Amino acid sequence: MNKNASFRRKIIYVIILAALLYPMFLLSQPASPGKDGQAGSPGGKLAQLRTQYGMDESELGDVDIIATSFRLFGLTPIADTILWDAANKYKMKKDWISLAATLKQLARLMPRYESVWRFQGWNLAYNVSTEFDDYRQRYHWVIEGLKFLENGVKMNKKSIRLTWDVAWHTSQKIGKSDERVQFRRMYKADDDVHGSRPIELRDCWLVGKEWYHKAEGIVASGVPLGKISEVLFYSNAPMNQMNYSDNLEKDGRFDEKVEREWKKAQDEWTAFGNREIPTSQGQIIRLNDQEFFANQEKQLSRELEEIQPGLREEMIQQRRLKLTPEQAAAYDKNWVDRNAEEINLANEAEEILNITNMQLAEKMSADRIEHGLEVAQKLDNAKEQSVWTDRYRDIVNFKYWRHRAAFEQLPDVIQARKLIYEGKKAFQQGDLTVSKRDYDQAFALIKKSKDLPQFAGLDDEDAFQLDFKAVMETYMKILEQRNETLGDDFILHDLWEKAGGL
Amino acid sequence: MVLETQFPSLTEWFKPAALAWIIRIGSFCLIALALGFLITGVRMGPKRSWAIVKGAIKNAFSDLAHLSFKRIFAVAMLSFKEAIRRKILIGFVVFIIVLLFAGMFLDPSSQDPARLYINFIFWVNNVLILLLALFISSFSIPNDFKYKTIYTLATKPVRSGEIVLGRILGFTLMCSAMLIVMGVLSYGFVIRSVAHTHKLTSDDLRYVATTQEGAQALEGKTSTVKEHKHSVYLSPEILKDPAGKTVMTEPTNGHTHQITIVGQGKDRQYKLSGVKNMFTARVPIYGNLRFRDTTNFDTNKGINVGDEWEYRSFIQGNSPAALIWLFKNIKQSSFPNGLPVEMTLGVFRTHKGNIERGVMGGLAIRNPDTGLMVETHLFESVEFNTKRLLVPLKIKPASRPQVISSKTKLSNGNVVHDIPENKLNQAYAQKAEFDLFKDLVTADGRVEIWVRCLDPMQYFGAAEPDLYIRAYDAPFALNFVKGFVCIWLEMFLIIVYGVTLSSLLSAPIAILGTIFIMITGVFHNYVLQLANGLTEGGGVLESMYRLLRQDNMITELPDNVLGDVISMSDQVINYIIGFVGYLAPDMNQFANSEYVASGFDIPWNLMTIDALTALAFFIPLYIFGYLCMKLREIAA
Repeated sequence: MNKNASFRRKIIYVIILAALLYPMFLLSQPASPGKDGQAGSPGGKLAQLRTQYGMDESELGDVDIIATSFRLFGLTPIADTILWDAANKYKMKKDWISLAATLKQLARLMPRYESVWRFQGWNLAYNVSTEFDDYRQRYHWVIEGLKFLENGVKMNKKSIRLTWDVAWHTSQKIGKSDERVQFRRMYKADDDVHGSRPIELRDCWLVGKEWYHKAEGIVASGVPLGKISEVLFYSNAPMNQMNYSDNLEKDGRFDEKVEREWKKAQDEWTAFGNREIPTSQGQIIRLNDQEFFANQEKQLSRELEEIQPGLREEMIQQRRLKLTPEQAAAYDKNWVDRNAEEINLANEAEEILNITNMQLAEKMSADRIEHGLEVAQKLDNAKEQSVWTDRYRDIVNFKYWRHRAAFEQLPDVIQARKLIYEGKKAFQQGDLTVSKRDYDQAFALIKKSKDLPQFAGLDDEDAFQLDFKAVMETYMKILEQRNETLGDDFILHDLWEKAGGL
Repeated sequence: MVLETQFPSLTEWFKPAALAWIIRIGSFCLIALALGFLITGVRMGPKRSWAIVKGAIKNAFSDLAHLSFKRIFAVAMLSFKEAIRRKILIGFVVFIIVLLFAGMFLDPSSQDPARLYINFIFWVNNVLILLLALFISSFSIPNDFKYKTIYTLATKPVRSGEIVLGRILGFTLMCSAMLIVMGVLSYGFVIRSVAHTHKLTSDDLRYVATTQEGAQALEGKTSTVKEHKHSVYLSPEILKDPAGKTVMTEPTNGHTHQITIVGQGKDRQYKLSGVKNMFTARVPIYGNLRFRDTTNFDTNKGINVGDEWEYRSFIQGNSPAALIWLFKNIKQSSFPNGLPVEMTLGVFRTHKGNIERGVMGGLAIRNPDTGLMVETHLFESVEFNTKRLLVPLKIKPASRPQVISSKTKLSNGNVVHDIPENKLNQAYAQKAEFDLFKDLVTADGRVEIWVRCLDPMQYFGAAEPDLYIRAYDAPFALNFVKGFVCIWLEMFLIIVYGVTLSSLLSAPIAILGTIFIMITGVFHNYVLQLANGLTEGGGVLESMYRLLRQDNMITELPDNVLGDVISMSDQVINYIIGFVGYLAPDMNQFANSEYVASGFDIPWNLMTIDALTALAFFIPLYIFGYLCMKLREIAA
């Protein structure tokens, strides 16, 4: 083999290499943005597929060099295991500074695993913060947890769960923990968290609401909600508005802003009620439609019975003949006197005697059957819609909050809240006369407002009773210190009884 | 700073350690000589054997006596040059790259950035220098054989012991030089990484009312740098004539800044210094902790409030329970301004109490001889933060002074008082002001510090190192150097192991052997637990059996021959593991960077123990290496 042959072979190899590189280039060419209004290149096939399925690193969130380099060397699982173990050790040994540093490293190694961000964000905000005795330190760790989650959102821009978690932690941890008064005060004053956000908007409920809206925006962009309950998901933002309005009064504000914010809460709740929500059975419901379908059900039920009056009774009588003597005897017996066997027999009888709307329609005379079937079908639909809407309403206590938002806007109720606030302050200052007077005046205003026809049934709501119980706690202390008891003439006696106070 | 295991004083440690060392090394030498005598005796008869053993001992002593530093140094220089030729300096490149990218791993917004940076830099230095030491030391002698350079050495009048010692010295010098340069760079890196200042203008401050009628103070916050800012408070006293005055900012992220006020009125400016109080090397004096329970008896442990980590024990609030530290050798000459006490208490609340303030506590000083106890401070607890209190020389009691004895219930039910009840003299308490050293510290310098929780149903917890008297502050740079000396000791041991093993084994096996020793050293406690059958899940075979059967750790072994075989085999394996475990030094003993990172001086006492431990390993290893070289056939 001479030198020329060797050289020729090398040249051939280079040409083959170049030829092989070309299809690789076509496959993996990266996408490039356009310049000066010109369209950019969509890149090679792989780049196009990544874009199509939203799997581009930069599409998912910020790109982290460390995570990428660790992945390149295949060290991520080892490093994760070591760091996770170290984090557990630091937590056990209460070495919070090392724990926070380790969690940040851990998250940087697995920036696309939302469960890491979620778990450890919760860990910092809920578990680590409560380890501290001083509420200022607790607040620091709650904010550390929030920052951690926000960094998670930066790395996972399309994560509904993480965005929702930021909203939840901001709202619930700051707004509802034992230290809520201190936390809310510190949160409002925290320039590092809020930057240039105006003081008026620095409320945890409002900031949380913004984050809920961001999560809703991600869903609107086409990211599926997954296993998250849609009715709960969309109730969060308007509920935050409710809580914000409520807390304005707890903070001592009773001006027109309170009325405005409650009105806003009512509007948002109504908009939520108008949202189409799929049920687990697949049908679409709107929470505001429950009354409509309940009325429709009543109306159609009447209409069905009137198509061929007396038919249902006739059918029942016919079916009664099919009952065994034991079933008939058990059915006729008063339910409290039935024994276990009779209960079963009565249930069987009830099943036989139950005539569905469709069965009723099918038995109608030939000239009525078509109309009957049509009405029965509509009636069944209305009933189903009404039942499912009611069921979904219960999940978010829809009716109560709709009532409550309207109730709280009444000038008398705002005045009552103000009197309760001032009465509590007077009590704390030891002025029992003023505090009792304020409370009594407040109760009179509440009585007047709750007895309005549009709020019928409000005092049957558990949440309303609980709220009232919390108010009564201070009132009972006032009475106790005045050596008085709650008389039968107490103006809200019936509500107090319903709340279980008597 | 958390100190889970207390190290003994040098005097307590030295005698038993030296005795154990002499017994073990002596027994080992005697066994080796006896074996040598037996083997040669079988082959050549006892007379000849005795002559050979005697000759070997004589030669060894002769070699030792004729060790020439000049020749050792020559071998050392050769090793030094070899190391450079083998591009050992590439370690520097790796080190510089790590420093350049360190910022990506470190969090400047940490509450204690100094601790993070120092821990990181010590870890990097430790890993790098140990790896370098491992590779250069394990390859040296095997390469001499491989490339026949040993002929050049062996044909020179150089003794085997000098070759081993020369190699160790050469590599130690090389690695030391690298460690010094890396140490200097590391120090610069840490200082530069956290260095910053803030800006403060009049617009950042606002007037606030004070408790003094009509007096106003200024408060505000500095600009944000490195993701933090400092609160600033200028008291009415400062504001009377502020020009030229200096105040400190509130501490944030483990440091403060000094503010110098320049100018008057509208021209007033605030100049902030660089970082202050971030790098310290506190020299603490620790006491012995005991607990007083709610029935007034002293115990060794307090209450467990449900923590998984049992480091701290707790006492109940609003009860006689107390945390009691006994200090010794406290002299007025060492504390001319009073006793600076620092403590980090655990707090456990059983109810919310007053959220706006911490749980209240009281600090009292008691004279162990007279029983006089004077409460000096009422304080508000701040959990996980160090509380600093100065016990003044002249004490005005914060509550009614008492004269009390300390009592302990013995296991037989008898009660022992440190001062008999009838000798308690209540007259000691009849003073309005007390002198710290005359009334409360005994003539021989003993004093007790009592901490009590004052809020009902709340708890204070502590471990022994949680309260100490801050004797003085050592220079941080010196402490940093001490930390590097500890790394140096580890490095030295690895070189000794590497050279010793490579005098007997080929390079790859020597490296594996040294790595094995390193790993055993790092997991020393675990290895010894395993050897002593103290680990959960049993020994090696027992664990393997359970793994294969997917049984949990508490499942009993089968009660048959297989179970017996596993148990017996594990006993033999444990014995071997134990033997190997004792061959390796406890590497954790040298890992003292946490002292530097937490702002505590590494005690000289501990440094000396570490150095003596390294020496204790060096001597037998050197003898072993010398014998290996002596017995090795160079021209095989």
